Amino acid sequence: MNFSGFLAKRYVFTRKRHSILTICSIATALTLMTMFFNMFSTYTTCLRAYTYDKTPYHCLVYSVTEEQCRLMAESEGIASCTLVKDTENRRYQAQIMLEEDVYKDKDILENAFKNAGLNISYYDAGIFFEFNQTLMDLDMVGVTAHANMAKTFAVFYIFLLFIIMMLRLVIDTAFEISSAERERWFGVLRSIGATTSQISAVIAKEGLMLSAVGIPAGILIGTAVSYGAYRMIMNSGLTDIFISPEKAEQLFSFDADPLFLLISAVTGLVWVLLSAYGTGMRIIKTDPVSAITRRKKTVKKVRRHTLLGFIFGWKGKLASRNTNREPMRFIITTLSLTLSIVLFSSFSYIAEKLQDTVDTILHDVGARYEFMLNNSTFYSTPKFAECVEILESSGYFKDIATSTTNMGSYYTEGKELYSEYVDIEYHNEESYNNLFNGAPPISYEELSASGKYLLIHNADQYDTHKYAQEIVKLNDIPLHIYQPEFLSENQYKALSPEEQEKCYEFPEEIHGKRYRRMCKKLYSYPVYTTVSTENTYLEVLYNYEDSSPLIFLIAPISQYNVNNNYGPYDNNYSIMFNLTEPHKYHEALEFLQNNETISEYTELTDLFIFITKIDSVVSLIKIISGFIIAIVSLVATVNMINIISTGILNRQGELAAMQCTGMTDRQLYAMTAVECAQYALTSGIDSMILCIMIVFGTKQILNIFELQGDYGDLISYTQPLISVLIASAVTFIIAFVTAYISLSGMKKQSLTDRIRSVE
Amino acid sequence: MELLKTENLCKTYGKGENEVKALDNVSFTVPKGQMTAVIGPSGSGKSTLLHVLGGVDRPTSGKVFLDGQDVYAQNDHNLAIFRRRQVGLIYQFYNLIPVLNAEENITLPMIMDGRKPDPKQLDELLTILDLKERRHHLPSQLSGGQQQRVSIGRALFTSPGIILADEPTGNLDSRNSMEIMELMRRTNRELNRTMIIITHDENIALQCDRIITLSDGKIVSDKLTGR
Repeated sequence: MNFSGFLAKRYVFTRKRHSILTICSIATALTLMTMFFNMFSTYTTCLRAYTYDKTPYHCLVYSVTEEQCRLMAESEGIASCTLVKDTENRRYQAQIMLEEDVYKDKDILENAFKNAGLNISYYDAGIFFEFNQTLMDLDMVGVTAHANMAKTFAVFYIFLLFIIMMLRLVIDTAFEISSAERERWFGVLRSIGATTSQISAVIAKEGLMLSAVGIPAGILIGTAVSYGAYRMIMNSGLTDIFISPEKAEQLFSFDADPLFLLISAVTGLVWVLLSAYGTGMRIIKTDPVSAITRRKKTVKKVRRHTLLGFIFGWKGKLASRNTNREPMRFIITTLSLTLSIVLFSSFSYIAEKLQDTVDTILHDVGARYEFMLNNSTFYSTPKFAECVEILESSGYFKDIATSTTNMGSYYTEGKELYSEYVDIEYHNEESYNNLFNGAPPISYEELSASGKYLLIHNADQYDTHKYAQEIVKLNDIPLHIYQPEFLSENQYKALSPEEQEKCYEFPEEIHGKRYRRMCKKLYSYPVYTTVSTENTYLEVLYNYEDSSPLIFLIAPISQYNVNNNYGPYDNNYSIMFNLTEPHKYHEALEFLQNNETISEYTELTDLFIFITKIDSVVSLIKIISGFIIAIVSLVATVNMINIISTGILNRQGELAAMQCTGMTDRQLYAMTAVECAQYALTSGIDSMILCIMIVFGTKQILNIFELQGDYGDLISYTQPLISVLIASAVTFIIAFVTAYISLSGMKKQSLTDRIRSVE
Repeated sequence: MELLKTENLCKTYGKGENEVKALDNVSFTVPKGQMTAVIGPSGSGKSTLLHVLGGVDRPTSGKVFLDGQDVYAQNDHNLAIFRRRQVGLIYQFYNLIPVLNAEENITLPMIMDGRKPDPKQLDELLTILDLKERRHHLPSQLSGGQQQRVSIGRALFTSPGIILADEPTGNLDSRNSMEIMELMRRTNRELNRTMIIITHDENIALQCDRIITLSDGKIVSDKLTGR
């Protein structure tokens, strides 16, 4: 073994801690890169299998004979031709698969059509035949596919490049840390005759030796982790959005493409060599004397007053100067931390907004619950209590709520207002709290005890309250509603003449009874509402543009049980509920369909699959954004941990000197805490500035497209900043725990031994 | 009047077959104002003794009294405070804090103690140390002799009871060594500081009032030089 190989080997084996650290850094970088590649190849493999399963052709030619299909299959560039019947089962279609790596699909197809005697041009696509572009793209068949895949790869690579650049920092930092320690050693080597190229070779060979362990380890870990992630997604039921679990298991397979793994390994190796070369160059530029004496030729200015010094006294001053020893390393680390904090803050905000939007949409389309039972016919007997009891006792369901929709006129202050719907809903506690996202204007217990109704309306979400003259929370006002009531002839005769004036002929049979009259009867509901002047409130409601006012009277389910009715005119009633255990969906559905009372008197609306699919899409988006945040944060955290721990270990002699001159343990930890706080503070402040700029920019864009205003502020400054604060606090905690562990490890050695390490 | 007293100091490293006795029943006293040299071959326990005397390394057994106070009766926190107030340590390799300039290195123990350095006292000390022009320089911008003078300044500035120096001239050339020893003698003489100096150099030892010779962790000779 030559000089450089010998020295490199010696260093790797004698300085185990640095070797392990560098191997870990290389392995971390490779793990992340491999994970990305594996996920990309698995995604394309699954998409290909899914597409092929649904549409197993590159090109589908309509109306062909068996002979024509055979002739096309024999043509150049055609892999196969399968004859299938069309959806109406009337004519035959030819499913054509092109051979691999076909570029000029136009020539090949036109030639095949000609051979089969079909008078079809390539430009007749959509008329006589169709392309399955997704499968063609995935199989890289045809001109368009090459262009499309190039676009997909470009987006993937831009993102990957960004990640790779960050990974480079991890590897760089590891080399920088070990080289800083060995600068003197290299100075000695040069002073005894080693050439600069020999020094570079030592570092490069050391990089190769460490890569020999780090790169395979990283690829193995990356493959294992990505396989774990694949299994997790498969088991989470997310694939149910597209196909059944059995089919998913059959079609969706994990794919670790050897070519991608090779690219990971080569990229990792290139990064390691570049890092080693960069470090070597920096060391070579330092002359041997300066390296040995550790004296800089350039005179460094000492900044006497620092902000941290001003805030934390001498500990702050020392911490600030320690950081300034390696300004580039500090800048790189805080930049990567800033980036991960901003990503965390933005993605969590976007995820939250997305969830809100989905919840609002689900609420607006009436999909607040997974199931709904409505009366099957307009006049059928409700049997509410019985149905509720069946649902409750089954154990399958929770959040059981009931509601009736009543038509009536609001009457108040001596004058009749408008004829509109009033929806009277009875909820149990869980459902009531869900209705207000856990923050009802009045508690369930209080509302139950009062025996009143809570009035809300569908314009609440549009801020109608701001038009009211005076807003008082939970004002106690009565709401008078004229409701239609069906009376028999005898009941009608018993009414006073004034009351009889409000009745109409109504010769209909309802619930098996024949009624003669429909009369408007006045009901007074004691209500809690959020406005004091009900006139203003109702008029505003009526005059509200683009919105048909709908009043909801919300009451506890106990109110219904007490009254044993659902309002005066319960012709439209619903029972809403959710599944207790989602995996028992089929079992529960069967129960609902087979229960006689439920199936006879109600109609089931099943929104479970719809809601689950929407939730799955939201979860998928959250998982992907979480994954991106996790990767970026991991890289930044590994960098920070590297720098803080090695910074302390490299300074152990210096810290021991301070302890010898009287620094207490508490002072040592306090100084370290300030050092850690610098990372958290700097990246936190940078992130805040960046977030404010992003929010400001987004607001400007929204204003340009006139998306702000009508619906209030779509984005706010405060929420992302809260995430930034949380992330900064977490950064500080991680930094301090790292420092604490390093200091504890260092303190296992006696002060004497550490002070001797300087010598 | 005795300032420092040790009673049967023992310090062992390792266990069983690997046990090494760095100090073996070392007992002696040092009167106030005396300048004592500790000499001995490498591995005789000189540096260990210095660290044990300075409150840096707890002895395996035995006691150290400084000004009548049992040094190791204190917990680690109080021991750190004791070091910053009562002991001045000077090392062969200076052990200065590279991010602090000369002035800040000198005043560090006092600042750690929460006290404000007296600018007049600092100026006087910097003049004595001949570092006035270099007060704002970082250790990496100072020569070896200058760095050692900063280290001496740090040991003197809090006016400690005792100054312990571990081969203070071991890393310096003869001119700088002479200057440093002259400075230490002046300090001893003019400020009546008690000093214990560990050295290999016989000439330096002879400049002290007393020479203690250690061998295999034991005192083999203890003589006054008659200075």
